[in-house]
Amino acid sequence: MQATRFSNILCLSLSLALIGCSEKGEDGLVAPPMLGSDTGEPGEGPPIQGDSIVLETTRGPIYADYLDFGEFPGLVGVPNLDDDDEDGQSDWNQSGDVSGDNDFALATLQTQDRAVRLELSGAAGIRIYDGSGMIMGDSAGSTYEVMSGSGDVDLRVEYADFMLQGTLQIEDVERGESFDVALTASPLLFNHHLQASKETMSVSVNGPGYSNADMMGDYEAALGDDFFAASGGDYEYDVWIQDEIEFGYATSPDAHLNVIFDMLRDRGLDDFAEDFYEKPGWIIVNWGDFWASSLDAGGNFEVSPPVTVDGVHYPYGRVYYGGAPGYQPGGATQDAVESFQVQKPFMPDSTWLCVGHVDEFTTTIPDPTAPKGFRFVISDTRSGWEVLEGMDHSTALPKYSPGGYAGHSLDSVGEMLEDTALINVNEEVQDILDEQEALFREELGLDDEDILYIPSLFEEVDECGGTVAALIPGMANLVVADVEDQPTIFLADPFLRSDVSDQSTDAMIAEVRARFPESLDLVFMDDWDVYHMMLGEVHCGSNVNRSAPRTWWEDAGHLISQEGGR
Amino acid sequence: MKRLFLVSLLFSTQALGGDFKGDLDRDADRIRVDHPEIAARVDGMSPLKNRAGMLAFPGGDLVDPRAQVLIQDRLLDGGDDALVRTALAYALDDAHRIPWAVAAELEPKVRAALISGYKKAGDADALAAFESALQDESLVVRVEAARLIGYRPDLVSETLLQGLASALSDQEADVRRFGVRSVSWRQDPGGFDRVEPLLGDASAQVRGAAVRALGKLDRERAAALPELQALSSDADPRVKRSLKRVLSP
Repeated sequence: MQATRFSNILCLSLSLALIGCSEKGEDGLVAPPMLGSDTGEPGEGPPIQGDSIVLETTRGPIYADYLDFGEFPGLVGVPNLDDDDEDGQSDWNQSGDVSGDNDFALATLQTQDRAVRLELSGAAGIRIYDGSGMIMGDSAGSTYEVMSGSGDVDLRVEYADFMLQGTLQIEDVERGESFDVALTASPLLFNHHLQASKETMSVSVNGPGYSNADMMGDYEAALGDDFFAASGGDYEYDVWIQDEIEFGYATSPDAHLNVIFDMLRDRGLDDFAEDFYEKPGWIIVNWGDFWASSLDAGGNFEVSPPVTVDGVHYPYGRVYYGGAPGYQPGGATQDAVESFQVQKPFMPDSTWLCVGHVDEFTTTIPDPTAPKGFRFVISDTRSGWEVLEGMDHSTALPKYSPGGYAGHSLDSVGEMLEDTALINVNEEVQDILDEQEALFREELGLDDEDILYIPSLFEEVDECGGTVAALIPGMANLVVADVEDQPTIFLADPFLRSDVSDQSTDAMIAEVRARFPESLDLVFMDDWDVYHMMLGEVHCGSNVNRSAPRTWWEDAGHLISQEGGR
Repeated sequence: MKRLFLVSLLFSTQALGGDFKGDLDRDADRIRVDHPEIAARVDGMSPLKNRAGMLAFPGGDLVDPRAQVLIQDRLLDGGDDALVRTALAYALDDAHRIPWAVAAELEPKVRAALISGYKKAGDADALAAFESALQDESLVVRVEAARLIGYRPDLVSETLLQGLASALSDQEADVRRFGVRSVSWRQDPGGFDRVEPLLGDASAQVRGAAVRALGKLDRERAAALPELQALSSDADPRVKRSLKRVLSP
């Protein structure tokens, strides 16, 4: 209650900041904790302020005898790189002169009517404004003096980029006392599967022999208004929306910036991000020279849920992208993601796959009964063969039977089981999967009980150098989205049955249901023609924006190296 | 359904012998008259990119035998560029594979795609196709032939085995790599001795394939080879992976 009052007072007092306080409660965002909340932010509570010079921030007061909120990361903000006034210019480039700009870190300097000297040091790309305009940073210099008798001064801190660090020294001129406040810009954070979904999206196509209407219908039935489909005709029938964009965010107690990492692949969906998300509160970014391999795609960019590895806690998980020596995602992308530090990336080998994406053989799913709150899902050919062995070998497989781009030229379960080339291919694949599982165990600190093996088989892809793709539709390539606040799994129908219209007769579906947590609903969707036979599955053809936690300044500071602003 | 099967049998039988091109032209003309909707579908379709960026012609309707004939016709006479014709080649099912004598006249990339038609189908025609493709002047064709012959241990001839032997000494590493693998998958007699020298190949991929192949041909004998054990200091992950399979208890 006290915190709410403080917040309201702060908002009212910052009338010149043009801040939209209602923005802070934007639907889907997890509100930042305030001083005195149950989150138990630092200490037992501040000592009496008396007539100290105080910098009031949304997190709480900072003064010489109470520096908890001034210590790194201190007064945190987001890079002001969006275009709140929609004039075609980044707000940062307009030097604080943007109508409706709501991307500042906010503070009120309580001067006690004494003279206060301010000094800004650290990285370029930090500016500080008072009600009259820019007072420090850029051409305004690095020092500013508030004259005695000025009363309280509302300050706005603006950042030009992610991860910038600086220090604001506040000196009580009369008493000769000073204290430092760390200034830090948010890292760019990417979403993981334990964050609640806000909207799920796909690309609809409906042509002769090439329609995903059933899959779109399944999504609409489950997710309702939380799902939308872009028209394939607008995007050269490029259905691989997972590969085109990755949702992320930067956040702070006073502002939130939605970020889209617009992948370098630049195929038919290249304009999708601009068409749907070029608006105030959003930025679209990427890094590099715009040359992309298949590894520079969103399906090859995943984030684990929170993990602790060798005693280091990663509360926002870890990024992983596939590659191998000599064949990796773009160096500029890797450099950028590493620079954000909080989700320290690592690189499993995905180059044994024709498409080469980590989402073809791994994912994570929420599971409240799991020790870490999630299960790491990895493809497993051993159990794939076991499912087949347990079936009637004469079971006809009408979906697999056709050749060309329609099927796999395999007529029955028995034909699969007797295919020595297929056995040989999957033997080698399993060796690789075992290696990769070991790597994930190490990089994510996983134990046996954290891992869920999903039955799978792979086949070589013609024209792809002996690399492979899913033979049985890849069910690790799944989507986690919330239906009425309950996580639900959307995944490929394996069609390992004679009656393609009756999922209840599918032994593989039964096996997967048995392996998955009971708390999750599973929706098996027909992705055969449009996705599976085109080397992708449900996750490849979908994307999900998620609610963002707003707490990194409390729980991730240990992962960010302090540059030292002074 | 029965009629469809008979039509399929007729067309596929025609595809395997006689004046293939003449028969194909005639069949395609007849289908275009009798089934203009199928003709419009096949003649008007544009390829889409699969997730890997390769062109493809998805759609379950394209396995209709009449559509398959029109795809053959478009592939051979349609005037599409080589990438599109490659995608058309992969759109053909086994029953509509192109005779190698016809395929051999096409561009290397298309030829390489058409070998996949013999991955599971064909007897004498498949043998002839692989015998020729293993000796093809084009690298991409030899790579695909060396890879896919591993799927056909049933195909055996002196010429084919000579072709496979020459694949092991091909100047291109990918041909050697797949050749090594195919020898082991086929369990050809004498394969172990032919593969063993490739443990010292300059290409790590070939060395890794050789280790795995020897383990598949005779694991006990392979594990005892000093040349194989010496590779335990090889830094390449593919070699390490293969060694682990062969040397693990």
